[in-house]
Amino acid sequence: MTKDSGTRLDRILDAIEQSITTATNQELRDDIQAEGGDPAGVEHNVRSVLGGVLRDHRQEKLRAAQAGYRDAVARFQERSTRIPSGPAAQRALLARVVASGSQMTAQFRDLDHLSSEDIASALQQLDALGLLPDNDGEDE
Amino acid sequence: MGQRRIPVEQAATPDEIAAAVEALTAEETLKLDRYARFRIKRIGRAADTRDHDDLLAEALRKTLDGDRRWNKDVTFSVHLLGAMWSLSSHWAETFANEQRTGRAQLSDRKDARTELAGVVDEVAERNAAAQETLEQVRALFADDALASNIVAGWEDGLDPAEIRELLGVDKTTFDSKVRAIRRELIRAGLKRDNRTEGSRP
Repeated sequence: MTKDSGTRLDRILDAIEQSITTATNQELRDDIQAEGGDPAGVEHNVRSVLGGVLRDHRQEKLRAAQAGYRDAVARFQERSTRIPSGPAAQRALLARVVASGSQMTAQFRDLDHLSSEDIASALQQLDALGLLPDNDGEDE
Repeated sequence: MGQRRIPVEQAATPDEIAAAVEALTAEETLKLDRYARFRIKRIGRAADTRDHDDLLAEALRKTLDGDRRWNKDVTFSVHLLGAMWSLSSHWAETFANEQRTGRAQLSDRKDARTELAGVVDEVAERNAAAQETLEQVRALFADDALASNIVAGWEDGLDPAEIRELLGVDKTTFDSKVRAIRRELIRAGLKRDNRTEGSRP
C-alpha cells in the first residue's frame, strides 16, 4: 500500500493547489479571514513586495549605467595621458600624426601657423577619436 | 504548470512587466499570496530560510532578468504562478540532491551495493513518511463521507468532473466541499513530506 503513497499524496496536494488557482476573490478573502488574516493587508503586502523588486531592478540598471559612464570617463582619461605635456613634444606628435595619416584635414597641414593651444586641442580631439598612436615614450 | 522558454523577442520588456504589476487586481494579489504560501509549505524544509514573500519576489526578479520570460499570451498573474511553481520545484529538487550527496559522503563504504542500499532506504523512508501523511489526511475527513470520497478521487488521479459524476454531486456542492477541504488541510499544515519539517529524525 505504501508503494505509491508519494504519488497519491502529490495528487491531493496538486488538487489543493489547483483549487487555489481557480478560487474566486470572495473565496480567497474567506480563506484569509478564516485564518485570522486581513485581505487588505495581504493585498498591500503583495504590492509592496513586487514594488520593491521593481524598484531594485530600476536601481540596478541605473547603477550599471553609472558604472558604464565611469568606465568611459576612465578610458578617456587614460587615453588623454598619451598626449605629451610639453608644447614642443605635442607639436612633434601632431607632426608625426599628420605625416602618417591621410585622414587629417588641411588645417593641420601647416603646423607652423598653429598656436600651442591649437596643437593641444587638436591632439585632444584626435585622441578622443582614437587616432593617436600609442605612447612610445617620446614625452618630454 | 511548467513553462516553455519563449524567444527573447516575444518576451515582455521590463516596462511592460512593471505595467502588469501595477495592473494586478486585488483578486490576483490574494491568489499569488495564497499560492506562494502553499508552495512554501509544500516543499517544507527545502525552502530553507525563504518564505512566501521571497518566492514571489524571486519569481518577479527572474522575470525581469529574462530567466523566466513572460509570454504576454498568458495573463501576468498566471505567469507568476507558473514561475513560483517552477522555482519552488527547483528548490525542492536541489534540496533532495544535496541530501543525497550528504548521505553519500557520510557513507564509509562507497561501493555500488552500499550506494544502492542507501537509495532503497531513502525511497522507503520517503514512502513511509508520505503514507503517514496520507493517513493523517484520511483521518481528518473520516467523519465526512463526501470529503473522504473527493480526497479518494484525487488520490486515484480523477479530475473534478469525473469525481462529481462518480459521486453524483453538482458543481456548487463539489466546489463548496473542496473549499472546506482546502481550508482544513492548510489549517492542519499539510506538506509533501512531513519528514522535511523535522517531525522525524
